[in-house]
Amino acid sequence: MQTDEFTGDHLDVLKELMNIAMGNATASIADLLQAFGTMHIPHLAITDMDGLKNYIDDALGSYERYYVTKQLFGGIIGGEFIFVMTDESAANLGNYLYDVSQPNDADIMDAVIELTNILSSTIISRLTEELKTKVQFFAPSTEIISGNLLIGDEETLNYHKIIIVSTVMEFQSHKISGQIFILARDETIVRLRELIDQKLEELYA
Amino acid sequence: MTYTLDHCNVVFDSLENGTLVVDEECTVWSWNKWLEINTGIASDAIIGNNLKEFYPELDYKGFQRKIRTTLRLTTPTFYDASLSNRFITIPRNKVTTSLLKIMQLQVTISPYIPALKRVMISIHDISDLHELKITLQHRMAEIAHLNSELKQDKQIIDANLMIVKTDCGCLITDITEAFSRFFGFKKEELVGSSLSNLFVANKQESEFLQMKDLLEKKQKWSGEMQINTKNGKKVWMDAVISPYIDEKNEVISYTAIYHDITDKKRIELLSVTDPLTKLYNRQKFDEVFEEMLMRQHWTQENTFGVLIADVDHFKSVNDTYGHQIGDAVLITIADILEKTIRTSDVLARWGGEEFVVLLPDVDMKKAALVAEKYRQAIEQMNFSEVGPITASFGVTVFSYGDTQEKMIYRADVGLYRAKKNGRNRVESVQP
Amino acid sequence: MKALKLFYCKYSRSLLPLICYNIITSIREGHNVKILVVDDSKLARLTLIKTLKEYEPSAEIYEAENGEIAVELFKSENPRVVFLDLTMPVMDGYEALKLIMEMDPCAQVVVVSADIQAQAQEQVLALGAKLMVPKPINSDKMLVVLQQLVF
Repeated sequence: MQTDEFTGDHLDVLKELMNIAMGNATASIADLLQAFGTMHIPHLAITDMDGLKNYIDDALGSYERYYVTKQLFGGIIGGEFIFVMTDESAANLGNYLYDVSQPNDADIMDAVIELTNILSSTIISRLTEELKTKVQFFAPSTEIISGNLLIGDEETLNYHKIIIVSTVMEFQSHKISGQIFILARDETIVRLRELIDQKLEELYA
Repeated sequence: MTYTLDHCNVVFDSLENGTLVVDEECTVWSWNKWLEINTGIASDAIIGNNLKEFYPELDYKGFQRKIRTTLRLTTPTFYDASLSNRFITIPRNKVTTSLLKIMQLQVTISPYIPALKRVMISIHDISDLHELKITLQHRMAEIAHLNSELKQDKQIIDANLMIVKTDCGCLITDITEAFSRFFGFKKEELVGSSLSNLFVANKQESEFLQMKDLLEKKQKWSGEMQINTKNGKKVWMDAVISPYIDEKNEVISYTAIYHDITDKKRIELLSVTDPLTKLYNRQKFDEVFEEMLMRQHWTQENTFGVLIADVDHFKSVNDTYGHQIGDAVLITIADILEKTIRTSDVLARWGGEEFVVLLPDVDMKKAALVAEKYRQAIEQMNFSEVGPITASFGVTVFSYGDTQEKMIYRADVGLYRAKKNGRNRVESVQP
Repeated sequence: MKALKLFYCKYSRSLLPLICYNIITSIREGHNVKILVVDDSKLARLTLIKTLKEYEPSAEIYEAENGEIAVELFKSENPRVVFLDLTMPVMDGYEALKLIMEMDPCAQVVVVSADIQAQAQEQVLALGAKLMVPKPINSDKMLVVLQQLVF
């Protein structure tokens, strides 16, 4: 039996949990920004390294400069939380949080990190809470990345099975939006499936 | 409660990083030993007081917002560690590098006693890491710059220099655009085939072997070679073939760089060629003659000879049929002789209707035999308009102390004798 | 009575309202109430139906996975209650709510959404939704919802 095999039901569960988690995150960010966030439908995919590259390329389009924050989380399920903002969105965020018309790079970086922090902790802790497990967060790091350099080339040499959960955060009134990617691979996919199975068993019990 | 907090202070003091506890208003509730040492502020002095009094330059709006977020979400929040220092300023004492004068900090705000709105702030010195990151960024920028220069150079080379790259087995792996353009081969037509396929088949064996020998010794070879273009045109190339050797002294690949010298070769050829018969001219013949004389190994049995051939009654051919026919006869004779001579013989036009041949590795008898062979070849040829043509031959061989003049003189004597004795014959003159 | 005892153990905190609710429902026994459940997630629909059946075991349930299907089913079946998600493909909950309320201003629509922003709640209530419940739904929340509906 392949224990990492995801059925439509597994994906559906994960998608719905992500939706609920994103609801919490949006509310938290709405508090921070004093604005109303538009909810988007989450997307899921199970793929390999090349697939991940294509997935991210498709999601981001051809914008030139991005603020990319990556944060690792670990525990029974571990992975990487990635939040991507265009520099325009990031500048608007820095502008709002630091209340200056021309936020400097450090202000923007810090604002992006702060936002990512709230997003990742609310989303991941809500997801894990629903799956009845716990995770630990590691310090995030933000980089300004041009073009499609989000994934290092050397990584594509390794073959991994990767699960991608993605959605969009959008606050239209502030012209602030960003893309969220939660990535996990190999072992975590197996564990994730086990946790979802437990959840499904409860439901059908 | 007091016991617990004291206990915590003991733990905090033992940590190798900065740890402080503040509330939402930034009043300090704990300040560990690491902070005392690195900031110079005693815990007694700061505990119970507001952080703002000690560090007024901090951005408290953002800081307090982060504290509130931490408490509200009951989850750690992080400060940006990668750019400017956004927390308390701690000097750095590293002497050997001066990239960072102030400690680069990674700051984590964690919930401590949420009921009292207190958070714990951990400060990690990540200066070394940051220093590495900065250094790496500089290097990456340098590399990017070098790469772009390299790319430019590569484009120039690709467009202008004819280069073929092969693997260690001389199978072609890459050719430049310039090579492809000049020879008319597409890259995919050549990749995988042997480098030697490019050489013209009749390339002098000895030179080819010499090249092979040098390359096998992992040395560079340079020389001239003839190569066929795709449409069969023969071109002369000046080539340098060098092996690329790895640290184990094993050949990884070969690079052959070509330079077109066809024009130079053509001029070279013109200067030594008789324009009518395309044989060597007298000047070139003199040169080869001198070289022949210089060779030290001639003996009586194995020496070299020289013969002079003169077309019989050529003046009457010219007078009767005109100079054009006369020229045609000379060209035909040149062709016959060229076909008849041995590969090592050197044939040239001496002037007028006279031809000369150098005959290496002969003795007097053999030289006369070779001359006889020529005579017969001409005699048997049918010159359509003019009818049969004959030639007379004078032949001699080298002996110790000879000069070119002496040898030519003797051959001339032989020729004179042949004419006098009825033409269409060979006369030898002993040294 | 045995079933009632089981509920007692499981949902002791809400014992009193449960008894009241069972009394109410027992009065109108005999006809099946039609309920439409709209969510693109199968899990969300299953969870909702499961909790709903604890109180309304005889309910006739209709399912829709997007707003468009929901509007069609509403038109043809005229259900007593609609449980409606907001973020869905094809047609979202806001749009479906608008169309349903246009068709029947007395429709009882309960929005069940992951969106817990106050502004989202204001918006759906303004559009005519009877209630808004944050996801995920559970027995306690379901009871509160059912108590506020008219059958």
